[in-house]
Amino acid sequence: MTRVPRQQPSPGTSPSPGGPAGDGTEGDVGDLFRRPSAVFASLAGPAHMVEAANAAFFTVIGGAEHARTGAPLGQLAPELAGQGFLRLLDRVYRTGERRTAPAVRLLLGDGPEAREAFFDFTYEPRLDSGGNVVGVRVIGVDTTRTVHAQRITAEHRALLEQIARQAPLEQVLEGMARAIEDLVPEEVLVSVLLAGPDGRHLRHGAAPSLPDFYNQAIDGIATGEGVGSCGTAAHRREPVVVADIATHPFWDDFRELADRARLAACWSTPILARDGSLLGTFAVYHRVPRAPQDSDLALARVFAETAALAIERHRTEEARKAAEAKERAARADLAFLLEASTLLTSDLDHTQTLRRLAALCSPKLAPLCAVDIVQSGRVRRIATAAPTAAEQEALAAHIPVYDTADDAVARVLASGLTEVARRAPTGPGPWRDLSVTGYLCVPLLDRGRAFATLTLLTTGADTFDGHTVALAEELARRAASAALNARQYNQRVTLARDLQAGLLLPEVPALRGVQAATFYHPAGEGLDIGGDFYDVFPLADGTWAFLLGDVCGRGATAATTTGLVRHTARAVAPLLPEPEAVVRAVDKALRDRPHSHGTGFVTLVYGHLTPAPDGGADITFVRAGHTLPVHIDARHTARPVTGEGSLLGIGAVPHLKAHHLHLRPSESLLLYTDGITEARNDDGEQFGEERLVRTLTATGPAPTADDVIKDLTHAVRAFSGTHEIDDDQAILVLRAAPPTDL
Amino acid sequence: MFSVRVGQAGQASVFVLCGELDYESAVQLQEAADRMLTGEGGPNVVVIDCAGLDFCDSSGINCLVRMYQSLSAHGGVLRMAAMPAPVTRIFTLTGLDQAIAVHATVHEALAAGSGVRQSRGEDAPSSLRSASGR
Repeated sequence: MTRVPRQQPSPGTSPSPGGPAGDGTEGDVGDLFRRPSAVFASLAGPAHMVEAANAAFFTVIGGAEHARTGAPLGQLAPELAGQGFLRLLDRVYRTGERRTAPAVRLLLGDGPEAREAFFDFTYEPRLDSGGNVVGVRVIGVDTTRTVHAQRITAEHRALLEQIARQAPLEQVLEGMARAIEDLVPEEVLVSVLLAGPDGRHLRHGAAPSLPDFYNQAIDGIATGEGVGSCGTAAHRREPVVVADIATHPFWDDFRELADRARLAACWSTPILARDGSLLGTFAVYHRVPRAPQDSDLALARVFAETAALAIERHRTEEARKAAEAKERAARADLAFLLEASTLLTSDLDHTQTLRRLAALCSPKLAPLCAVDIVQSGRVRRIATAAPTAAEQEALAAHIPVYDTADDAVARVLASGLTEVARRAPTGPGPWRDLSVTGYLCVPLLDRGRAFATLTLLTTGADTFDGHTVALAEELARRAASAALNARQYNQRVTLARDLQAGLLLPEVPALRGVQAATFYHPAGEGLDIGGDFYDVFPLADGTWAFLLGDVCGRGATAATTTGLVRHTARAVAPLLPEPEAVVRAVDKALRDRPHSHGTGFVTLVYGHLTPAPDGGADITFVRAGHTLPVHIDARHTARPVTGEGSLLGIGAVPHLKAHHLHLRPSESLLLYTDGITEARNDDGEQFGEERLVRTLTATGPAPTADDVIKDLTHAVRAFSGTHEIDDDQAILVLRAAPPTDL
Repeated sequence: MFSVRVGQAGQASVFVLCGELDYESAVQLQEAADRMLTGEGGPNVVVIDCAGLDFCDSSGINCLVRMYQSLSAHGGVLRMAAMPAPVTRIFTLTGLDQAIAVHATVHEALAAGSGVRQSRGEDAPSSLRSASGR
């Protein structure tokens, strides 16, 4: 049973709102809740003079002061006249018929004291011995409590429906407060306070009739023994009744407040969850000091339980929404990260990747963003992002100092650890101009060492929460990986290019009396070094050696083989008089290769060119299995130069033969690799030797060696169309200078 | 389109090539050759039947040279048979006909001998060309 200090009408029973309490307490005259009673009156004559009545009757019609007989009822209780009560009495008197009138609502008393009451009345005619009606007997049973209880039940059901329909919590609580205020006959003011998450404070929930100043003052009070009715009830987890605020010590601190709000009594019931934890309190205030009856306490309990249902329901709903929001946020993060990863890895350029990182972070993670990398021992600001161009400039102009302890970027580079703070960074910088209020600096790591940092800056009230930090770190990880891949790729490309450069002639030397032009296009995006090669170098007495050839295969092995061929030729050519001997020497060098240096064969054309007295050139060449050289005469007719000779480096001794050719002035000798003739178009057709010869024959007037190269390469490109070039291409043209040039 | 079928003729393997042997299809011949020729238990004589071969470019030559080198390393021999004109052309252009015997028919190629060679680098083109064995 509830424990209620001070006044207590009746311990031990727990009545329900609908049943009779029958506590037998006299006093508190106006309170019909407590005392269901029968009323009885004997009325006489057409004016319904009160002949006899019981005390209860007089109570109903307005109190002890009216208790006198001999006066017409209409006089004793004038307010009854307007309510049809007298009309019904008249009818019974006239007709002599018994009448019952259930659930008659009477408004008793007037002004602020007026209260409603319900009665089931029976009106019987009083007959004399002759059977004539001489008066009316009134018998009434007070059903006020029953009616009120029914109303409460209906109201309660409506509230439960609201809760089930997930009406907003404030609505439910306010509706509940108003319902109770309406249901209870005397004036009460209801307040519902909600417990804070720690259960140590009470916040305003609903109190539609209490003044604002009171609600504001009460909002946030601590729970605890002696803190008003509600604070104590919340603390004890039991109802607390203060029948008289003026004298109760629990209200010492709040008495003045209660006075201002004209509150004289406060009954508080805790609202508890199913597991017993505190959800809030439910309080009923009265304008006059009052102690509750069992029915009052029971009512409070019912509504407190209903409120508990509403609040728990609300909390579950809030938790569900929070979980959904979290899941949505997590999904959004994942989508962002996936998209960001794709963007970061779509570039094979180290710098571009880091610039993309800055663009991705701002404004999504923070308004201002800077990416710094370490280059040659110094910090370089490689990318910035900001809402306006002016801010971006200010950010870009700031250079972090590499090795000072008061610069966040420097610290993060040294430690490889993220740094975050709710203030502008220490050390100099455009923090005031940019209104920086917080920063997050994340390292980009290469095998544990920081090579760059990502700095995010907030302005205004935003801060970096754990979630943003985690997101930024993940982005930085992906960006670091993408940038390192790009860098590695670039380094490989650079390495290949450097190696290649070492293996090729940087530019064709100037031959006296001879125009020389070359073309070289390795297949692949610089990642594969080509197996095609050419060389032109001087021998004694104005003679030049030239060669062009093809190592089968690609990659580093083919490249080193091209080096072997060229260097062997350069080394032995001054020592051996004949081209054939030079080629045999190359073949021997190939055959003597250790297997690890490759086993691929080599085709080439090697020759010696000597300017002739007539201005042309004498050529002696050896063709080792290579494509036929093409001779272009003075009339621009091209024709392949036949001549036997087998490829080198397969183990068999090659069959080699020297061939002689004279180039008259403006005639050319063109050497090419099969990447030209085997170039394909989208139909799978090959360029072919015939088309080559036709193209070379069709060139315009007096083409220089460069013109020949240009025309041929254009023709091959036009033929290939969109088809990729999948083999190395090399061309060497040697043209005896035309007469005019001499 | 290209296909390679490998068959046995006594101790010899016969590779029947059909279609165009180029940059894209050379890998098929390479794989077939790797399967057959790597390891000690490979055949001593391999005949390439080129009757159905329409086209051969440097990739094809590359492949054939590799087969030649694999066989030579173990004393085996590679012979070409029934080469059509376009294939003959590139064969002679590269001078491979100096190292690898060319026969008119598969039958002739098979009849040319058991293929035991004395040493690497020794080659007698004219004796290989005659159908009568050594």
